[in-house]
Amino acid sequence: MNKVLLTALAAASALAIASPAAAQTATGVVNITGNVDSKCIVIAPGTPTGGNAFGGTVSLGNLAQANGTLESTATLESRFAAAGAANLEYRVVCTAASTKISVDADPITTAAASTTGYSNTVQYQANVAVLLANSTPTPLVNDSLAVAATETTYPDRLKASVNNIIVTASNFRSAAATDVMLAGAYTGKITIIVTPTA
Amino acid sequence: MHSLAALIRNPRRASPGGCRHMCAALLLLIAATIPLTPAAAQITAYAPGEGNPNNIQLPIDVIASVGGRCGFAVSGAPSGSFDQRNFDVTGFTHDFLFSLNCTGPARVGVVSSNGGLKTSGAVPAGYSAVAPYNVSLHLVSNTAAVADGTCAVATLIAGTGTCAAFLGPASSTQGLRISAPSTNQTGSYLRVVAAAYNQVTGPTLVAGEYADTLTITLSAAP
Repeated sequence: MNKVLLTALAAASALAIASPAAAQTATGVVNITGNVDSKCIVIAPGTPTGGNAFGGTVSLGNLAQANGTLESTATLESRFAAAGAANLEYRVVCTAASTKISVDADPITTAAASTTGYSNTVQYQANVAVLLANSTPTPLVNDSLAVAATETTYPDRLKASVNNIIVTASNFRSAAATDVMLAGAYTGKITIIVTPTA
Repeated sequence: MHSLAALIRNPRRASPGGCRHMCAALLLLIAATIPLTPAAAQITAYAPGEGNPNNIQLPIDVIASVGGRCGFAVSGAPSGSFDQRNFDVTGFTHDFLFSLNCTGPARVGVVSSNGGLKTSGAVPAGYSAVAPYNVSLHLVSNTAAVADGTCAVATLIAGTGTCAAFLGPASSTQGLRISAPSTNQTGSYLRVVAAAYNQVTGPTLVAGEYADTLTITLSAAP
């Protein structure tokens, strides 16, 4: 007798194959690029005039002493400094890793023509202290007698947190100490150019 | 090849070697999948003409499910590049479009490789080599349901980011969730936005080439 013996262990057997929703992930990638050019930004401009990016005005008052000769340099240096940070200290930052700064002092003059024993010109020395991020170099110096500007490229960034270009003046003088200063309005200027490099 | 039912009805149809061996193996397989029950009932089936019953009904319930399918649509994954010259001056806005293909709820996460647009090199105090921008996600579905979120890219660094909306990688619990299926729907996008950078307020962005990579991950989120 052929028979098949089946043993049913349960009336209803359940072979359950239930797969939960599998964790599926997919990935995409996007790239964003851009650049920042080399440039300098004036953060504290002082009190510039004439469309300049930064600067200030210094009033030295009457340049002559009672005897008509030029005031002492100490007096004029003090008057110059009295213009204060609002006119003589600036904060400039540059995006470039190196910064070139040039200084060019022009004499303080009046239009009246001078003759022997008289003077229509005051020479002086401009001093520009530059604060860098990682060092404090010797100030840039340019005398108003010099035709060319004084310039230096610093392999460093300008210090960002403080005013980093500070101007003073010294060694005010006329051609001869005994020269009598001609009456008139005198003007001069110090030109500072900050250029990003590299 | 014979079906199990046919073999049970007529074991002689079995291939050489007989049904006994094959059926026994099948039964053992079935039995192995069935929890043991204490009361086992024995049933005998006979060949036709040799007794009854001639077959035994052995119900096998088969239950299965299909997991929700979730991925980016074909050619619909977020990809590509965007470049903006002098972005610190111009700012930028750009959308990277993508299409989901999810039969159920899903989550999308984003990770930034740099936490901002970054250029190489160390910088002193007051300067920065990393530029901020914002990342927005907009997800559409087959229904009116949409999902939106925005985070600063600085909060999208994997492992340390704090973007609550969609810091990646995405998982069933992490990422911006779209609650309805979205099957090949267009209109989803990742948007990167930066206003012109205020170099005066700073910190000053240094000159250079900047880059960032965003990795967008998608996960089913039942």
